[in-house]
Amino acid sequence: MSSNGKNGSNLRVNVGLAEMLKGGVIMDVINAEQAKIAQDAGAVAVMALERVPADIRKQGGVARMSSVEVLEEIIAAVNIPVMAKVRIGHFVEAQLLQELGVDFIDESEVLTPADDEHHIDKFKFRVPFVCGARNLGEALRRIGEGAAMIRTKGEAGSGNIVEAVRHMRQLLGEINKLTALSQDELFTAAKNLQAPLELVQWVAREGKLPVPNFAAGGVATPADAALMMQLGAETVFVGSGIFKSEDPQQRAEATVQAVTHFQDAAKILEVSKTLKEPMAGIEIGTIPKEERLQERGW
Amino acid sequence: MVKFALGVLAFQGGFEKHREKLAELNVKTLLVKKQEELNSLDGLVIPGGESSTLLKLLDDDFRIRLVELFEAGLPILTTCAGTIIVANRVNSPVQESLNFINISVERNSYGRQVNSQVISNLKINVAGQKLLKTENQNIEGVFIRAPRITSIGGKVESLLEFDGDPVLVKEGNVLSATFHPELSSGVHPVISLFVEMIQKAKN
Repeated sequence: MSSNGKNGSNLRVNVGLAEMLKGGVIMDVINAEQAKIAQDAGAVAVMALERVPADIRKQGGVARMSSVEVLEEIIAAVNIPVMAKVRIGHFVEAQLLQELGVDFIDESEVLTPADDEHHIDKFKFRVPFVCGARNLGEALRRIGEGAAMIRTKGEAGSGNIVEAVRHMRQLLGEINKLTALSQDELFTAAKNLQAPLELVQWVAREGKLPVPNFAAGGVATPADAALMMQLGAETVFVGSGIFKSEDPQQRAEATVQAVTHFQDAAKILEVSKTLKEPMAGIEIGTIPKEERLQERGW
Repeated sequence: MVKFALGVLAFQGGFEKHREKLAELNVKTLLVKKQEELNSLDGLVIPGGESSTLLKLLDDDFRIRLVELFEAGLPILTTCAGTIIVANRVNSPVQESLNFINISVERNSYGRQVNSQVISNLKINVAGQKLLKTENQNIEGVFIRAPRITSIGGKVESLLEFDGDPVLVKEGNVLSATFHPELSSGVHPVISLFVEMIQKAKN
């Protein structure tokens, strides 16, 4: 099909792809072999990155977009959509990913930011973007820049779900509050949220975000994934949680089942029964504030 | 309006949008995830999503019941990945399917997400003119990493085409689109036709 466009219909097909990922699990992978395991386990998409967040946290240094070679191998290895991460503000990494045919770009706080003031102008791209958010203002700023999907930031690589829970509750709580305000109160609400007025008015009217709202950051068990779904997430990203566990394949399959059947405790119990050890977790209080990935971006 | 029980398969994918569209027609829907929830339905939507994920979630009990209902004439609407699930043959890659409609499909045949697009005027075939209520002659198709129907056989009718390929086909109680009528604004003629099929089957 033709490749022109960068208009309304483009945003429609991009938000449309996010709709088609609902109720699924998106798994972080660092190579083609992991991507195949993820696809076979029932992932709706894979997220390519250089190192999983747990290793980035341990090893330090600058974390960048995956190498082109690895991305090409992953794209060739699977039929499900391939997502990949770029550094915040690094629009040239994004241009490369679009050129490669990546299906969704994550402008991610997990990688080392390339610009500490500006995020990417996502309307300049044909490929869709997902961005992290800790609250409603941050989510609407990203949507205002053209994001087709929002996810919680959580605290990636921590194996600790507490921050993702905090961000999801914060976001949905703020949406609820907006719906109770009168029209003339929304101007001040937009000022306080530091978000575009039109988007604030839209959310107040509809009671939800204008794009799908997913969960990410710290998911380690099928129960963590189902917790995020019951709290109102529409899909779950699992980063280090799968390939840093002792049983990636089985854990991936169990997480897929837990997200589909998130309200069915008996089913989640059944798929969790024979799992081995999950990844090790970190108490958030022991991570110095300047090392928390969620503090990146604004 | 006749009251009926319409199910939307909700394992994964575009089930919310189908539910919203049907609500615009005052049709109530049940999100179906368990085999027993298939009982006493008057129609079923199998939405888009990822076909490999949907197949993984379709366990044997559910599959057997679904085949029974198809054979009993339950009206079924499939979109995008849903159409891959019910086709007789699937290529690139070859994968299993339910054999509800005599078509061959090729996954992701139009390219990756950057090639996804909205087509504002699908070609309406003779069978389509007969079945689709089209006061407005332009019928829109939202294509997202869409499969291509590479051949149709037997009693399959092609209702709509794009670029020489069928994009909406019907065989008996199964109506299959490679695009997403639930993502168009207003009520898409494909959804109206499906509701009509259910009303006819009920009478």
